Amino acid sequence: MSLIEGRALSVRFGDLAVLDGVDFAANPGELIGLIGENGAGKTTLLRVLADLQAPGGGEVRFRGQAVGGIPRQAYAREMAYLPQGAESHWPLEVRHLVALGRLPHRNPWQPLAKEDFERIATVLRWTDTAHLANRTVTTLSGGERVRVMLARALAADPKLLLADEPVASLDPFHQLQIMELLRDIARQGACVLVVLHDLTHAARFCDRLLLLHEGNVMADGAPASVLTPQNLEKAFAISAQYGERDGAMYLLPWQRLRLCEDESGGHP
Amino acid sequence: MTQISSSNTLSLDVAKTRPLFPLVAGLSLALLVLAGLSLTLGKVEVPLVEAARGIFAKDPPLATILLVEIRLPRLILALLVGGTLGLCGATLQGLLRNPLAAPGLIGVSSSAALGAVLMLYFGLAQSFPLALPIGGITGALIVVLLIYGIAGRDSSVLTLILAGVAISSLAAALTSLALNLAPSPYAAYEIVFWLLGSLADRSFDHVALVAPLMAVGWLMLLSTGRALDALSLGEETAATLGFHLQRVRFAAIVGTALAVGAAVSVTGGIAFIGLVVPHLLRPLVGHQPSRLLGVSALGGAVLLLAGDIAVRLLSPGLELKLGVLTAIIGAPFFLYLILKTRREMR
Repeated sequence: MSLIEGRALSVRFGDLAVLDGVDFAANPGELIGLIGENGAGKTTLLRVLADLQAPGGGEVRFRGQAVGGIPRQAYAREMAYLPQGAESHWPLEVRHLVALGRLPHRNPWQPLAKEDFERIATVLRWTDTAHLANRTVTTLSGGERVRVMLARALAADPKLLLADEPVASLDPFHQLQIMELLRDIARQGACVLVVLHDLTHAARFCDRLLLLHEGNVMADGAPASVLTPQNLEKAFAISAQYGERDGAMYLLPWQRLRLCEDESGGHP
Repeated sequence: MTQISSSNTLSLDVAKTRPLFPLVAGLSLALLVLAGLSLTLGKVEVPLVEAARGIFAKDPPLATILLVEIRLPRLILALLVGGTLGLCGATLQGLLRNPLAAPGLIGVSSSAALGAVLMLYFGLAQSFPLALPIGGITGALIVVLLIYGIAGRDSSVLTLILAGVAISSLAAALTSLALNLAPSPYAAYEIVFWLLGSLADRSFDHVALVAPLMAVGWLMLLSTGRALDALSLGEETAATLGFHLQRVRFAAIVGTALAVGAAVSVTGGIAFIGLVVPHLLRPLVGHQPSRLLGVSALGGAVLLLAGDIAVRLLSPGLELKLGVLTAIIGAPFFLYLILKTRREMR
């Protein structure tokens, strides 16, 4: 039985089919990259899996049980969702913000316990934010804030992590560091589903890629089988330069294969 | 590869929390001192010890009667109403994630006022003294039903606010209508005076009427603490942290209606306490919404009590209305806070 499974998921916003019969299943221990052009339905798929949005058609099952039927707090103990551009509405200290990730594991009036603090310290270290623990979150840079928000999501010790573009705004060092972290977390038995735009990260770190195009699954499988020139042309309208280092594939998006509307031969 | 090996050194002070104790102790001390002042100050000097000794006497002296029948209910109401306004302000600011939110925002204050004004208008207030609070509470409860009727159960916070604004305007318009159609200048004067807000001449009957409603409201508001913390990260993340936002909104709004409706119905309009108190105390609790709730209740009680003592000291003759004082001091102070926050944001 898969950890999480979506069957024939469809979501419509008015006339627009954002998800159009998506089938998807993921197992513990997998790091899955969710790729696709802007508007392909990646975020919507994550939101449906996180039970933030009921699909218009189809259903999501977690450990074989329909997510709608799982009590919210019980699901929150298993699943963490990191939205794109996550922000804090109050200028909280970083350690207090990360502690919010422990809420699903606490009873209403129970204070933070030793294992909570240990977990918080651990995830701060994992995301390389321990030195920021006493800083106010509003004083952090964009990349630092994303790492703190990831620490918040990891604080719950989720079995399923749904992360929407967690590395897009990071410096190169931390892009590599966070991708390695996500891979290690998957190695330890969690299922990690991450939206990516960097195809080299997708190729190099993920066990599996899910390529969405116009609300459909265009390809689902090992990175080398998904990132073919044909798929890149169909899904992204680009061609890429392929290469290899230390046995891992990398690719560099190089050329557009179509013009934008109103773009008659080159930019003004 | 080794980055997630967990060494068990708690190398950093994540576990250290800023203690609430000094803040709570300071506010409690201020509350005690002010409570003592509130019982002693007035047109007639009341020696506290002598008056307290008289409580169990068969034929209590005037000082005791003054203390128990007049000063004590006034003190208790100041604490209840101030605490309510502070707590509601903190809850609503947490719920809406907006430091400008106030109990008046969802239309409860103005409709409770309208309910009481109608009692004055139709002359019921003269026939029995509790007509005013009963009218006010009824007005507040009707508004809660209306807000839910208009906004529906799945509505966003924005819809709730807009419904509140619409209802506030309607209640204000109907209050104006009552003034407009008032049978005599004296009746209009009475309505206006009540609307200004005061704690003078209230009795234990008022306390008994509003305390149970406030208690229920307070419990509902306090139950939202953890969810308010989660809401710091936005509604969606709060939902994925296991909170039912519909339930949280219900508790916050119905709790506010019960507590503030009851408060307004005995005191009239008292502005800015619910806005300013959470705003002032928030930095002292590390901006954490759940920790703000209790201290805001305490802070609201302190501020309202101080205001009530101030009106008695400032104008012993024709008493300055408490609501007027809080508005006159509160509004410029709030403007100052806005300008200060804006500078910090930059």
